[in-house]
Amino acid sequence: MKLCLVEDDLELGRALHDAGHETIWVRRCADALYQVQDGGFDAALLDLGLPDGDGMDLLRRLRRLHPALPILVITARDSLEDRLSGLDSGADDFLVKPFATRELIARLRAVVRRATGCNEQGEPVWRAKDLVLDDRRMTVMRGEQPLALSRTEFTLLHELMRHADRVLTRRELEARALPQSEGPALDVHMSNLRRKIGDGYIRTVRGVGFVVER
Amino acid sequence: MIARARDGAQRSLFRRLMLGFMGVMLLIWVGVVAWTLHELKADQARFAQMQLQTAARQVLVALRPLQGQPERMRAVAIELEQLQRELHGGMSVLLSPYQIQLWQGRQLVHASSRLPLAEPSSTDFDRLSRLPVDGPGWYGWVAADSDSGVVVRVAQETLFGFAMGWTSLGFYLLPLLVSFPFLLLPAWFVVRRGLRPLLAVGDEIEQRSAADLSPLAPSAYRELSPLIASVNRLMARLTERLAREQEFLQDAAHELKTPLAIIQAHAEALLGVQTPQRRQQAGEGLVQGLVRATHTVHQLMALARSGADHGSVVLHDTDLAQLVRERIGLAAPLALQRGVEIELDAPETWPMPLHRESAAALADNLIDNAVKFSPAGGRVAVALRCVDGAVQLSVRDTGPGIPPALRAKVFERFYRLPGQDQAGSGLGLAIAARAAACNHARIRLADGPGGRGLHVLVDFGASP
Repeated sequence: MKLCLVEDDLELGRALHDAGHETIWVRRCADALYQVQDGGFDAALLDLGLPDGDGMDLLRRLRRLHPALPILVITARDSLEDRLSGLDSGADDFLVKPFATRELIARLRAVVRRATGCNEQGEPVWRAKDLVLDDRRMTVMRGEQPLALSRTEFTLLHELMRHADRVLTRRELEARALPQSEGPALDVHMSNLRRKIGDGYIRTVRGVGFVVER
Repeated sequence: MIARARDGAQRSLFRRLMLGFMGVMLLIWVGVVAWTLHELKADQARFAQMQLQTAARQVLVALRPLQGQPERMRAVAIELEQLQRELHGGMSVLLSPYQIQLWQGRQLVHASSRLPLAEPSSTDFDRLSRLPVDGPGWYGWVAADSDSGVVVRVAQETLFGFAMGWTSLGFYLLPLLVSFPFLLLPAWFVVRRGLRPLLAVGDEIEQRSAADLSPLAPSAYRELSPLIASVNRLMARLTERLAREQEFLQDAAHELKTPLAIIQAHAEALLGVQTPQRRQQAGEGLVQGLVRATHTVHQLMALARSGADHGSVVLHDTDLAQLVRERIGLAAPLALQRGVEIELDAPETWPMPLHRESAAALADNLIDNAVKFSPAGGRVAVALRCVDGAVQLSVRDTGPGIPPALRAKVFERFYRLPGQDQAGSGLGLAIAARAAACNHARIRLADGPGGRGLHVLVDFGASP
């Protein structure tokens, strides 16, 4: 991934570079706007505590100028208010210092995936265990075996696999896959989907929602 | 002093007292003036009656020998008027010169030019009457001598108009102006002096250093006691709070020493050892230490935030069911990884007044604890229901539980159960308890299902 890192500290840039990502490191708001304008970034990493201005301000300007750019905010401010105002100002995700570099990279991948609808190889293909969902071809394979899913079942599985390892609540799934219906419809579709793909892929968190583990 | 520096913009207690005092003086003056005028009017009528009655009778007596000689009667009348002007010519409040009108039979003999010429009617005799003359007005008295047929009217200008006029303002204003300095100067001095103890208290507080939170000395004045008492109560609360924060800081620093020691040990090992296997171990140990330090720092922040004065926290209508659902959603992936089943039994929505941040901290800590202490294959059951009209959040796990004797102790900061092998900051339940208090809730601990594990009950609406 090509990343723009707006941050005061050099070590993080080095860690990202070591992890195999092309990282442009800037320390000032003005440089950040200039670099991002040149474009070509997969995502921007933004520290809110910058020497020459308010990071929250920069975040809003970046979001206004580049609506499609995934922005991950890293900060030491970890109150819920800070996180909410960050997300409201256009951040795609929020990571509180200190954090493990691996977590940062995983979150980066996730925001890029969500923004582009593609996995990190740039393909619209999602994998969980031996399940492969191809968004462009609208196909689902279990190992070598293609599965025939209805449109709703495909959308449900697509949502769950895109957000693998995250619990999607019933409400979220209903809003994305079944906007017209409510009540037990979700359970009916989910049980059909499970019957077709087999056990062990979709786990229920009773009373909360569903999750696909990668 | 701040209060003095902002004198211009601020209202002054001193001025308030002085203005009040002056207001009362003015009111008394107006009352006295009104009463004086009223009395003056009555006195004037009385004096006029006495004077005019006497004068009329005297005139009749003096004219009796001149009966039938109108010329001489007129001369005497003019002479009498002349005498009056000489005697009472200067203006006095109660006495003024009178004028005379004379009739012989029905024939006008003499009339002073300033009076109306109307003949007295029968009702005018022997009583004080007001004459229809412009200006200040006149009092008149009519008397008749039945032997000689002479009728006389003696009239006198009322001086009441003069007493009411602008010219006499000085007369009434003078006492006020004279008494003002005599009353106001002492009042100014007394009020100044009376307010001095209040200023002294202000100065005493002002001169304090930030570290001096000892109570103020009790005041000799009863009126100042409530003020001093409330300042002292504030001082006591601040002292308590500072002590708590001091203690917290020490505890926090102490708690960070453990992970730092682990980090140091592994870092040194990393520099010292040669074999790749040991290096790998030391690296993993280093990361473990960092994870633990990070967790402790996060928990300390959460504790500091949840412990903010919960008297000042404002509760907003929030969907507790949705909030708990979201928090479980966040905790579930880790639980599933560890083979712990987690479930929620709650209505679709449950709006109630909550402080969102601390309610989330409450749910997070209870759920994280339950997941952390549940063995693989264990189960965490979260429920939100209404018990006896109050909302109750319950979290049950199938972990080792907490012996009843230690259930009060686990809410203390940094307390860890003996023999516990799970890494933790020892802050989870302390945070949860404070977060519960923020939301007017109380936490109880009980045995889990079948006496196994722990059952945490959060009763909302209970007094903390």
